[in-house]
Order: sequence, then C-alpha cells, then structure tokens
Amino acid sequence: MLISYALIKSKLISNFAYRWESIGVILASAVEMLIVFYLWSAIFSWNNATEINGFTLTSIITYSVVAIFIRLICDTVIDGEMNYDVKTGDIIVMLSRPISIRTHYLSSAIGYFIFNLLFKFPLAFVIAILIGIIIPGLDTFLLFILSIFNSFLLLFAICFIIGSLAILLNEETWSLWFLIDALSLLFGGFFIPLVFFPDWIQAISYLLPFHAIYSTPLLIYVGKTSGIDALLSIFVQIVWIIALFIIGGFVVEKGLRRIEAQGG
Amino acid sequence: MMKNESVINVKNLTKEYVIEEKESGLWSAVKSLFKRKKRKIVALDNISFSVNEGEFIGVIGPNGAGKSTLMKILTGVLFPTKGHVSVNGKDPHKNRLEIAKEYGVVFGNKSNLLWDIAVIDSFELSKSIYKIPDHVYEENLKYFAKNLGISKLLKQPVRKLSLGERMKCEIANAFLHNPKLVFLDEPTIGLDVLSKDSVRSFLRKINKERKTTIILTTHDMKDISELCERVILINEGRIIYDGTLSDLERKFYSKRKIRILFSASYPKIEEFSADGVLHVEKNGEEYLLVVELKKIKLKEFVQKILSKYKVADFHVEGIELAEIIKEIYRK
Repeated sequence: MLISYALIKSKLISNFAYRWESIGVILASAVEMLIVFYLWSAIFSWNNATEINGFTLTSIITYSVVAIFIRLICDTVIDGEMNYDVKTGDIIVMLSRPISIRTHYLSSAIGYFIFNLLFKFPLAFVIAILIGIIIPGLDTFLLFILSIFNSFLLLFAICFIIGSLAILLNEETWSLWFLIDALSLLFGGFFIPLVFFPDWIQAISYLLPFHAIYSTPLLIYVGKTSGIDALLSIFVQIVWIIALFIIGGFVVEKGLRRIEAQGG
Repeated sequence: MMKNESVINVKNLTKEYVIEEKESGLWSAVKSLFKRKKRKIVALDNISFSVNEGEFIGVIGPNGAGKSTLMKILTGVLFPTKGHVSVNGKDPHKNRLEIAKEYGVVFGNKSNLLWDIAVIDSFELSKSIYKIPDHVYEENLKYFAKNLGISKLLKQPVRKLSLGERMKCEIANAFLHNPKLVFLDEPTIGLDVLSKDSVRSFLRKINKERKTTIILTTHDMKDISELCERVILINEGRIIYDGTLSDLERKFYSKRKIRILFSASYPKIEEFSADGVLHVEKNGEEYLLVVELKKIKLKEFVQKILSKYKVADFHVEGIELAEIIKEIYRK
C-alpha cells in the first residue's frame, strides 16, 4: 500500500479546518509576484530591450510569477511534521499502526497538496492573471499540471529524506530545509531561468534534481519546451522521483532500526 | 498448558539501550559534536512470562522500571536485545505491520486520534486502515456510545475535548476493530475520579463479554484492584512478582493499622512499644498503630488496650495496596 485514501481524506479535512491561515501565505505570494513584475519591467526598460536570452518581458514575468505559484502549491510540510513527531515521540504511535511510515507521510502530503489545489490554486491563479501572465493552450496547460504534480512528488521526496534523517540522527533536521531550499532556488532556475547563468552553474544544475522541480514545469508553461522535449523532461522528473524515493526509503529504514534499538 | 494457547509468550527477554549522554552547558554541546559519551542501560533484564486468552493483566512498577519498554516490544515497535517474544504465535518485530492489525493500543500520553478532525472522522480512518467491515463498525459505535457515553463527542474535533473525554475516545478507537488483544499504557493517567470509573467499568465489561485479552500499565492501584486478577510487578527491569492480586496482598499483607480514640487520659507513645509494633503516631486525639501479625496476636493486643485505657472508638484496617507497593519499591 503506497497511499491510504482515508488518511488523505482526513488530512484534507484537517487542512480545511485551518484554511483561513493560508490566506496570509497566498497574500505573501501575491506581494512576491508584484515584486518580480516591477523588477523585470525595470530591467527591460533600463536596457531598452525587447528580448533577453530569448525571453520577452511578458514571458519572463510569466516565468517568475508561475515560479512563485509552483512554490506555493507544491510546498509540503512533511519535514517539519516528521521532525515534530520525532521530537514528541509520536513516531511510536505511527509504528503501532498497520501502515508503513512512508504511506503515512505520503498520504499526509497528498492531502495537503489537494487542499492547495482546491483552495490556494484558484485564488493564486486569479492574482497571477491580474498581474498579467500568459495563458497557455490547453495541451500545454495539461502538461504543466502533470509536471507540477511531479514537482510536488520531488519536493515530498526531498522533505521525506530530511525528515528521515531526523529519525536516524535523533536530532532536529528541519533547518537543513533552508539550505536545500536555497540550493533548489538557485539550481532549479527559480529566480531567473537557468540560461541566464554561466555555463558551469547550468552544468551543475543538470546533475542535481532541483531543475526538475522548477525549471521543467516553468519552461513547459512559457512554451520553451514542448512536444517530445516536454515529455522527455517529464520523464527526467520521474527518474529523479524514483531515485529520491529509493534514497528516502533507505534512510527511513536505517532510522527505524535506530528507533527499534533505542526507543523514541 | 499448551504453548500455542497463550496469546503472548516472553522468554528470557532482555532489552539494552545505548544512550547518548547530553551534558549541560555550551562547551559540552560543542564537544558533543565530535565525541559523544555513550552509556548502556538495561531496561529489561531476562524476563519471562506468558499470557492466556481473556486475561486482564496489570503491569505495575515505578517510573523507569521498564513497563513502557515492555509494551513497545510487545507491539513490535522495539526489538529485543536478547530472548524470544511471540504475540499470537508471531514475532511482533519481524511482522510489525501484520501484527499491528491484530492488537489495539493506547499510549496514555500520546494520541492515536488526529488532533484537528472530528472524532468520528478518526474512527472512519481506523475503519479504513484496519479494514473493519461496515456491520462490525456500526455495531461497535453503538456499543461504545452506550458503554462509554461518547455519542455526544463524536462530532467534535479532538483538540476541543477534555482529557477524560479524549481518553474515552482513544480507548474506543483501540477496540474498534475487535482486536483479541489490547495494550493500554497508562490509560487513566490524569483522569478525574468519574472518568476513571467509567473507563474501568467499560474495560471490565468488554474483557468479560468479548474475552479480550488486556494488558494494562498503571500507577493507580485502584485500576489494579478493580480490574486485574493477575499482576506483574516490574522493578529495575526485573519481574519481582507475577501472580494473582490476592496472593500479592496475602504475601505482603501481614500488617494491620489500628486507629484508636481515647476518651479520658492520653497515653504516651512509648507505652505502646512492644515487639511487633512497627509504628506509633499521634495525630491530634487519634493514635495510629501499625502492627505485624506474624509477631502479635491481634485479638489479645486489642483486648489489652481496651482493658487498660478508656477507649472512645477504635478500628482495625488493612494496609492499602498502594502502600504495599510503595514498600516493595523501597526494597
């Protein structure tokens, strides 16, 4: 059993209980979207440019605004949840249930993701349209949705590794997320597309999973990758998902051995 | 007794932990980045016992005695360092996910119910995780509503319940899938007298009616005296007593308390000192004597006092279980 539908449903219900708290997060994203809008407008008018590295002003604004949008929707809070469960000892309760620990946290994360799709997605999308992003064709949009689902799974897999390290080391590891997050913003092409970077940064970024989180769905959205190339980049996402799930499975197994030996 | 009749079989079980010592202070914290002091702790030391179907067993012992460790090993969460453990004929650690379906568990200071959703939603979750058939689920909801009085709580989120209300729901949740075996780790901790009463009467009832085997840890001796026929007493990782409650009381129960109110003169405390009188104290007008029955014939002792002094009132009482246990812990 990889996921539990009942658990997804329960998590969805609990997220809706706190739905108004996420309004703040959505408004913060709206402010960020405004910042990148004026930032890119300033850069283009200062240079009198119509195109930089193959991006027009509208397409680069779309890229940056949708990047913020993806980060809002795909964020999982699993690393924090796992750290909390290790710290309070609730992890023992999880182990006394007949479902595996990964099933538990993956279901929890999917519950949160569905909440984001139902609640944050429409609100944030309206804001993004008001700022003036390009609306792509239906086929592009569907590929985009598929690729941000993969982005979610990638972020989950990374957060699960961080949380599993908390189980293994019996130490809080949530601050590790700040480092990973910063690296993913740089090597994932979050703030600016990867083509804006020197060659060596681009070379490193393709060795890391982060470009599959942000760059892949963003380039699909703005139409820089399409057709076979788009499917290929989605395939690369899936390869990274499998690799990171295997690493996470390895770390969590090691962590459970430690708990079994030492207790909570 | 055939071996396969017992629900739980524990043989020469030993559990050792290696713990890292965290010293106080900033410098120690920095040092601990490079080198950590490790220390071995023996939580359970070569214990053996078995449990038969339908038994209601109380596991008692002071804090840190190893009760919770034992519960975690029986539920498969921890693996033993040495020895053999079987639950329903299986090794709980090797078959953790499988065995988890067969038992119910409440860890008293943790929650199995999800904090933010209504109790009934948590029950629905258990229904799905434990694959409980509809008719069993409906039947049990009615049973719990009647015997635990939780029907008004079902639609409330768990975080809004009082501790007593929450514990009733936790216990219902543990019994929801009709497990033949239930572990309750300090289920009455922090509850008021009324809540304790209703939890106890529910447990007594379900143990009788459904022959559910129940293993309970507690610090409340009333839980034991009202529920458990058999007691396992653990101290410093060893079983120091395993048997019926009445045997335990008989074994340690050779003492009596005598309370006396004198009507005229107040004798000095020293006047009572004799071989077999363990303790004398005066609380206002009331005198309290503790005597050892092995050394004193109670009837003669009392008659002597009655004839010597003018007594307004007196009564003899046994020592409470809690005090017996306290004495055993001290040894």
